[in-house]
Amino acid sequence: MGRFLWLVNTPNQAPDFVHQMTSHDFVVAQQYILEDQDLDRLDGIVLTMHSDQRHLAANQSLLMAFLEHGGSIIFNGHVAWPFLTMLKPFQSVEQQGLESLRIHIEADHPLTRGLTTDDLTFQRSVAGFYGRGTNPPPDDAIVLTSVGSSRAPVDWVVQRGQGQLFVHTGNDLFPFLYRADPADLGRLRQFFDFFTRARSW
Amino acid sequence: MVTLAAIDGGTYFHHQSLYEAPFGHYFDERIYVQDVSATDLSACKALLLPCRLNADLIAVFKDQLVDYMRAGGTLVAMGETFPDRWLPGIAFTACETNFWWWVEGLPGPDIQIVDTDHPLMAGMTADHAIWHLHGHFRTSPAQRPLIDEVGGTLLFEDTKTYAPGRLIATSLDPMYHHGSHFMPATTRFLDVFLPALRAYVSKT
Repeated sequence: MGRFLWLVNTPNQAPDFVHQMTSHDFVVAQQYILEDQDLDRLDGIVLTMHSDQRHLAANQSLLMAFLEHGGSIIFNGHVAWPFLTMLKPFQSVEQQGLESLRIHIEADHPLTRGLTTDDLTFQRSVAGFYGRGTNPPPDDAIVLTSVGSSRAPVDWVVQRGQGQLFVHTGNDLFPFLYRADPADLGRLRQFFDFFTRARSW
Repeated sequence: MVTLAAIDGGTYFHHQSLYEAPFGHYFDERIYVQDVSATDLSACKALLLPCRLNADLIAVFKDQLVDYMRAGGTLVAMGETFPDRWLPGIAFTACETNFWWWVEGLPGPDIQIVDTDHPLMAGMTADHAIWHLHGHFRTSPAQRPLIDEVGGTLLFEDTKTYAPGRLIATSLDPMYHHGSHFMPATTRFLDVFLPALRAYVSKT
């Protein structure tokens, strides 16, 4: 069972399915308690699209150390304030019709297994919700999905130290994973399984 | 004197709306949300709280905002900042948002510009304010409706409760969607609202 800190920056809490996912343990908290947490006890930190990235930037050394020591960081949103050393500012893609917003799966990887391009491209037959640009990845990242004919990276994962940084360029990824398997929450479970580290404690 | 300042919650959609083209130039100053308590707001004619600025954080400095208005400042609370949770006398009812009326072939929000002669509504038409709804205000006599929908008020001005300052509040959330590169209607709203706001507060 993985242990994840889910940081929110709205008065609302995390979506209901976070608490239905009994295969993992989620602690939901306001973002600003980050500095007060015992991060060594965590598998990962979930950062939502509402994150205060200036606050994250002020905690860059803490977050980089968390990665170095084997924790994972799961970021959703557009990078406006590059709060980790390997992040660069978001670049939008030109939106001109469906093909410019189609999501492509770029890698056979535990994080994309079982997902189809339609799962990610459409919500009620409308495209554009999943990703509309790229947070440019570092050269050694594995690009998982891309958007449009330019294949701009949307989801990517990269190892730093013993940990993994996962970046989703868009609104929170999780409702898409939920809708891909709402009965069993299989895609969500698979996602968090990947970031659960073997532990000796 | 700063004409228009905004509080920056550090989110990407705040960054896109407050710093980047085409709207960044409307803001003379941005105050990081964690710095507000240590900032003298009195030099700002108007202070805007952008969409989805965390209401729990605003509540921490709500007294400072009241003092700011009572000293003559104009406070602008945008959508999903929930002023009913940190100011008294505001009646707000959230609604279930129908993001899909345009897909389902249903009529969209029935927007009415209540006071077309008000300077804040310069250039504003109903079409500028149609995307979706998050809720309605039930206004008091001190709160003058400027944009309404069948369920209540979407944008009001209150020049009495905090006189000589004033409160402008809306439940519309254009800065979140514009800042997410999503929903061009919200960009069109800001295209007319921000210059009208700036011109309005410049004259006071």
